[in-house]
Amino acid sequence: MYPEDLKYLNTHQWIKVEGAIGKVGITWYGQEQLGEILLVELPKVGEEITHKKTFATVESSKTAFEVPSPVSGKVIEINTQLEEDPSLVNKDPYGNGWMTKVEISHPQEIDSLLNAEEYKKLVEE
Amino acid sequence: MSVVLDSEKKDRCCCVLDMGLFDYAEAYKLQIKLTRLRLSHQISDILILLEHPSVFTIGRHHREENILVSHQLLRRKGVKVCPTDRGGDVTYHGPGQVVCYPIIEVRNHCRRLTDYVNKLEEVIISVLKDFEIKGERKVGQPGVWAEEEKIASIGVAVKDFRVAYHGFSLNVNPDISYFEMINPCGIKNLRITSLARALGRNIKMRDVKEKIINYFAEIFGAKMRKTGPNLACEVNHLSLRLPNYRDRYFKGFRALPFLTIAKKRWGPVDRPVLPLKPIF
Repeated sequence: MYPEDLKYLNTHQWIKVEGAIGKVGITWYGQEQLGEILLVELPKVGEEITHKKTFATVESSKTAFEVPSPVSGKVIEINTQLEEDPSLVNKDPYGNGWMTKVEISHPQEIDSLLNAEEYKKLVEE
Repeated sequence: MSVVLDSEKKDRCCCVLDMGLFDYAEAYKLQIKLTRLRLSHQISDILILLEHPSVFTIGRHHREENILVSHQLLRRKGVKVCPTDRGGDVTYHGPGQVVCYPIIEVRNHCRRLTDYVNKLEEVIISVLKDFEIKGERKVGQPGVWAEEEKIASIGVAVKDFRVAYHGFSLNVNPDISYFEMINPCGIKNLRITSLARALGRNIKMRDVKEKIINYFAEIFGAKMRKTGPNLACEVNHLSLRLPNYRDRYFKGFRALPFLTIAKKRWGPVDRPVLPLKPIF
């Protein structure tokens, strides 16, 4: 539920940093809050996204949830599987439910994110 | 009355803002500002109640074919089409329909964000019950139905997985013919009804609003606080300004005893005689 190799935003998003690239998604707890996801709207490749600002929207029944980004940078890849099967975010939030890959522009932002221990504490309090 | 309430009271406190008849686009800008203030804990939860001048609003993933008449005709009838960032497809708002925008920290009231819409439906069903109308849910279709006809619509957005905005609309006695120009909520041949239609008599908007406030308090466990010039002042202190403030002010706040006194002393007044700067 709280993979150790990820960093977390307190609004329930995760990022896996691999060099200069970050893979971003919603945490298990985050998707549980949303209920069954029916639609995922992702940014376009090449778009600039900003730390803590909305980069994607997920819709469940009549509710649109704005998803903030853990880091700033340029979107280099998006998970097109989510167009066909948005429920991947619910079923496999850390695996096939990943949302975007970002070329990180401000690596210092990663230090401000929570590690697995801190995120677990936040969720369980 | 201080703007920043202490945390315990703040969590359960909800200010009611009755805006009367208010333009959709302006109300949306107000919602965004209030949502940001709520996110940064500068204000308590807010419950906005109002009616809109006739407008069709379209959600993020609407389909164009769900507006059945030409934009030309809509222009001639003076009906705007406003895109929005809420969930759902197209819907109509107009006079006679009460629109409710709770700006609330959802996790203070619901275990999961996804329960929020359920609770809004519960508020609507309780209000209808008071009028002896049986409100029903339909699986997979948010909103409330009365005898297979839709009487209330819901469309919500949540920012940062925390604060919800947009909300629901309940038909009291709107002009139902506007709904025939669209596939409401993206559903073809959807029949729409209202309280007045279901009961065969006129219903006072004021009564419906009171019930919404009371049931919201009960179901969300909130301590409601009706606003007056004080909240307007607090909101002004945080640099919120709305256009045509005088019209809004008088339509929004009904009880103005000091205005009556002013009239008696100095004859008719065309501007408020208040110690506070009118805001909206």
